[in-house]
Amino acid sequence: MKEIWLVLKEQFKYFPVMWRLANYEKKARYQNHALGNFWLFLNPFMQVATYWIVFGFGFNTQSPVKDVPYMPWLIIGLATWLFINTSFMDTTWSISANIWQIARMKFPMSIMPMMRTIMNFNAFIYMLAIGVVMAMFYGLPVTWYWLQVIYYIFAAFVFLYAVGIFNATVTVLLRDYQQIMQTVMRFIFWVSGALFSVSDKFGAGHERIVRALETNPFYYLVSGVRDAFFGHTWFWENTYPTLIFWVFTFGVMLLGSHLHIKFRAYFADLV
Amino acid sequence: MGEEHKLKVSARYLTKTFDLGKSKSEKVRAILNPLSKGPKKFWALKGISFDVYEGDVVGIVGVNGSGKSTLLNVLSGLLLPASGTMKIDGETSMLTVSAGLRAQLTGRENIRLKSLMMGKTNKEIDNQMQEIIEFSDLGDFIDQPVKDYSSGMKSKLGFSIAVHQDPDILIIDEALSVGDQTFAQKALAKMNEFKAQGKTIFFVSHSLQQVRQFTDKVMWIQYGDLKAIGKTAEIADEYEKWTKWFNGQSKDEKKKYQEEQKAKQIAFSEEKLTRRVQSDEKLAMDEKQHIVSHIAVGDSMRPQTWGLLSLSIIGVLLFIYQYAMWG
Repeated sequence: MKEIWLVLKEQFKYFPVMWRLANYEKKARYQNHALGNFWLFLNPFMQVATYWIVFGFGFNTQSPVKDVPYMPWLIIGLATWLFINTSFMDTTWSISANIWQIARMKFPMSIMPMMRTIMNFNAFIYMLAIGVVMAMFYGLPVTWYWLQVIYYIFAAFVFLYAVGIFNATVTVLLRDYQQIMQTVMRFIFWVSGALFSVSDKFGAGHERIVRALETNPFYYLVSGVRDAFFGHTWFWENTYPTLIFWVFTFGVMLLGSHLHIKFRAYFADLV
Repeated sequence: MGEEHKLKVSARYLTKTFDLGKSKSEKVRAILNPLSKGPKKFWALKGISFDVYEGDVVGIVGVNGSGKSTLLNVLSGLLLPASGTMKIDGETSMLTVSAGLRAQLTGRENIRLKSLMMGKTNKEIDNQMQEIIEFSDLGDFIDQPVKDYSSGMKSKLGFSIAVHQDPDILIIDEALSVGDQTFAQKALAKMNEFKAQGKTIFFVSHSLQQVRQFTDKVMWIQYGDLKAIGKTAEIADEYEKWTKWFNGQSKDEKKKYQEEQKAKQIAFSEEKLTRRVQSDEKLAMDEKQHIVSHIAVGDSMRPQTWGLLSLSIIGVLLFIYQYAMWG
């Protein structure tokens, strides 16, 4: 527990530095582009447009949920998946790629994974907003359940913080981890429910396998954000998945913080 | 002279070893188990001791590969020493040519990035920006990407950023050797200003002339050992004499000498270090014990942490089973 507090305290203490750096890096990313910062908005917009064309007109897919139009269902879930997936992969190299620049600076390296997540947050919010506006255009009623999106975004941040510390530390110790995770994430994509409902694909008679697959934290967050807008339940009614998500997150946070503190003085030797 | 000045950096038997020809997994294992002897080690620093006081400007000289850069990296906190003790009173700021500059960003953007990393707010940076740009002498180039800079321009930019971060201890690695004369004079003036404020400066340069001009103390590092430390005039003369002797040797003799020294850095061992420390009469007994012990990795996992971790794994598995079977 001690190690969790140690790393967590650094996050709060250096949050202003993290925030300023994230904002600066975001701008610096597009500074050589003719359209400049406009890409911050354009990128998520174009992603939505791509899926709109492929699934909206091309495949003409039906929504897996009754009375919910497919396009907003897809875009809201996909926005969440892209945010978590991109941040998850970005955290793996967040320390190892910049070690020479950050090791001598006045902030602890532990803020780098969270900084990456903050950088990806804007695109997520833009894309989510497009999905929600689209849903309202299709006539979806605004309900109190929408408030749950705050809980799920909070859960996503805690989850990404926990796996971020773990990913960044393990990548320094074992470079192969990043490649392994890329493969794992490709698999997780199919059970995250980002594009379609997992249970639909398995069909009837496989409910137990489907439920087991759906306990992964990515599915929990993607379906959670969707439920906030389209569902008629509260997150605490979803007892077991919620418990699994938080206990898993806690375990990763514990292990990640421990490894981070144990090895960080040696990071420059190991990269 | 040291009596009335505050001690800023105090090092005792600093060592740094690099593992020769080992894969990374072996390195990780070596860190996990400090007792493992493992394959050959190269002793980049073989136990260096020195005291540096407030207001000291210390030149570090030595031939290529003698361990100067390793020492600076240890001082700046980038590398952890393998053993020995080091006490630093204050914040250090290290400056190497083009270190930490991003090639695709402009000079102005690099100033902002690095200042942000040093914990400054955007407002503080805005206030300081003009001063840094003027100091750097880069003119219109400040809005060009750093990749188009010459090495001299990069070091001017790096130096200008570093000196405006207001560090207590400034570590300069060869950064001035590439700048032009006018800039070197300006940098010298800035360093004198720091000195007057009681700041401490470490200065590495291959130019003995610059060392004589800038510094008042010199550390001569020779193949991992501190060969001499003292007043600039004396040590610089000694070092110059040695370089003259060395350069006077034939090519084969030089090569042989270097190989002998490198072999000594591989043959050095913890036993030899312990003997050195034990025979030091200036050290107290308990200090000796502390110095020779290998710096251990952070705490290993405590029982409580093991317990919590096991509990969470078991919990996750049980809940998954429960949910999958009965929903």
